[in-house]
Amino acid sequence: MTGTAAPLLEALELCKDFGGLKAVDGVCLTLATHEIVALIGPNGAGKTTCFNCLTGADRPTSGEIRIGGQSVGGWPAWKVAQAGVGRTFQNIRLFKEMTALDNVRTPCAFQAGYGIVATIFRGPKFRAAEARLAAQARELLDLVGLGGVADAKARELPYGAQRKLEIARALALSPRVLLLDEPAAGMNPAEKADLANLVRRIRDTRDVAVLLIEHDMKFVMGLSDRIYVLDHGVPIAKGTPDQVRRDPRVIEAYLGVDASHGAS
Amino acid sequence: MPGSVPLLLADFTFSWLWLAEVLITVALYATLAASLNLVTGYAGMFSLGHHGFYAVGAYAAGWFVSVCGHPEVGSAVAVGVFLGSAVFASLAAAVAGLLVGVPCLRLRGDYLAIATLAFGEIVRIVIQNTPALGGSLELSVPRLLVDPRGLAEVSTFRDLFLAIGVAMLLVTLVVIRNLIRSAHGRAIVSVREDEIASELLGVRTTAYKIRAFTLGAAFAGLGGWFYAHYSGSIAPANFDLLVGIKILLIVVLGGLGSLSGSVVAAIVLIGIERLLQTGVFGETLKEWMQVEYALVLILLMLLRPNGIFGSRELSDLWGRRSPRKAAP
Repeated sequence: MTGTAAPLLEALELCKDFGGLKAVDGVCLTLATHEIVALIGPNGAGKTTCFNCLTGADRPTSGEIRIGGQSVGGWPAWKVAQAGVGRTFQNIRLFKEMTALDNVRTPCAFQAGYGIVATIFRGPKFRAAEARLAAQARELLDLVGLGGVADAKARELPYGAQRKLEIARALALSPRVLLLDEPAAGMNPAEKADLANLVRRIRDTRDVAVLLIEHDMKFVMGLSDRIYVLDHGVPIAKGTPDQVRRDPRVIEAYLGVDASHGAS
Repeated sequence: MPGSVPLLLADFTFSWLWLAEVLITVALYATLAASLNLVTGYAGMFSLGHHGFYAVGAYAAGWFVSVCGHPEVGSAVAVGVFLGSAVFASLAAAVAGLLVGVPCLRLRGDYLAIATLAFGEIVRIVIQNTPALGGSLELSVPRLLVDPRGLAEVSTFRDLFLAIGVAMLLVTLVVIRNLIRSAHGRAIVSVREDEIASELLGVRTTAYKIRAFTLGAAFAGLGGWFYAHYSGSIAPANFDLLVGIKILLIVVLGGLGSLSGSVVAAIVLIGIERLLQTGVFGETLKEWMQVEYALVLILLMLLRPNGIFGSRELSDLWGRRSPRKAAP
């Protein structure tokens, strides 16, 4: 640390190999509270692998990840999550047969404050804790605009609502870092605008940093404070949306060499 | 339960004595099915070795009683031994569940089914080769509460065990239902729904799987305790794979994740089996008993692939049915 406060989330020289393939190669990134940061790059650039390393789902081959200054290398995924890293998934992974409310309540199991034996006798402490968890979950459902469908099963919800439910579920961890993996995929322009507002509202009302992967450039440019660009696992650019938009390496990665010449 | 009642009655008449015997068996199998439902229905772990924990409980109870000597039937000491053996049987099965669960729960789906299947067989073979437990012969479990010698005592004995069996079933159902309707229960169900998502959202998936597996084993052990005391003698043949499959069939027939379903399916399956056994439908149908389970399975797959209840409970019916009035 160089005198300044530790950033919320920090990845240093992150590498992840799968056999001979370097899926992520030397990625460094930092996140601060109340910041929306995007991770972009062509398909197969290693964005999701990056997410998997940050959340403990994959173990990085080398490099270090710190949350609030503390190294989380080698931690199991549930411990990283409990330390304050919530995420959504590229392919929706809701608990389909559970209600929307139960989906959002599930990540709070470790905050329940009662043991298994207490569930049998359902005493005052148990009931108070359950009431608190339910109230928290309903608040989150209201935040994402799903307060009216709390008792519907997750699989019965329309696609856009499922995406939002995943966000509410991730927020149930009271995360310090919220990772959104292609949150706008498959949404129409109105839904995307709605989603962008939701992400801003989350940033403004909660002490959280948002890191998102997204392919829709209009969505990313309009929403992000900063952007990191990956190509073939290698970080090729970073900066504000304007800086990244003009970077010839970024244009080349997305459109090919000729296009980058044509554009400059 | 072969051996506990004469199967062939020359002139069968329906009697309370007969019905009590059927209901006792229903209570036993409903308990076993409910405990397997926790493991397979709620936690999503496909186990084919549940009869192994049932056996561990039965033999633990039998061994416990034999160690305690022969207290006078119906005395306070005998009641104490009876209840003590319940605790011991559940604990023994829970420990077995823990020992099997810790290494096996890394496996999923078919692989877990094979590993648990092997466990069930290992238990049976170990018992067969342990002279202290009766080997492949019977281990007799001394009577503690009532000795069913005369007709009057048999009647008292059946009534008493029916009450105990129903109490055991109710305790099992309440504990599992209350567990599922809690933060810990939701964590267990989330493992079934999507283990990877669950872990990435802060749920200690392995810990919850082991808890569910161990608790399910403990209740199967309780069922074993009940069976040991009710039948008065236990043999490895009472705990073979067919018993495990029967329990699983009840769970699937009732619906994975429905406790009401497990109870109703136990009533249906055991009821049909016992009715056919009586021979009141003729000798031919009596032989057809063998086909019952296969037939039920085929009908199930055709008519209700998710089981009679799916994942719903009886209590859902009077909670949500109100707007739908019966049309004339």
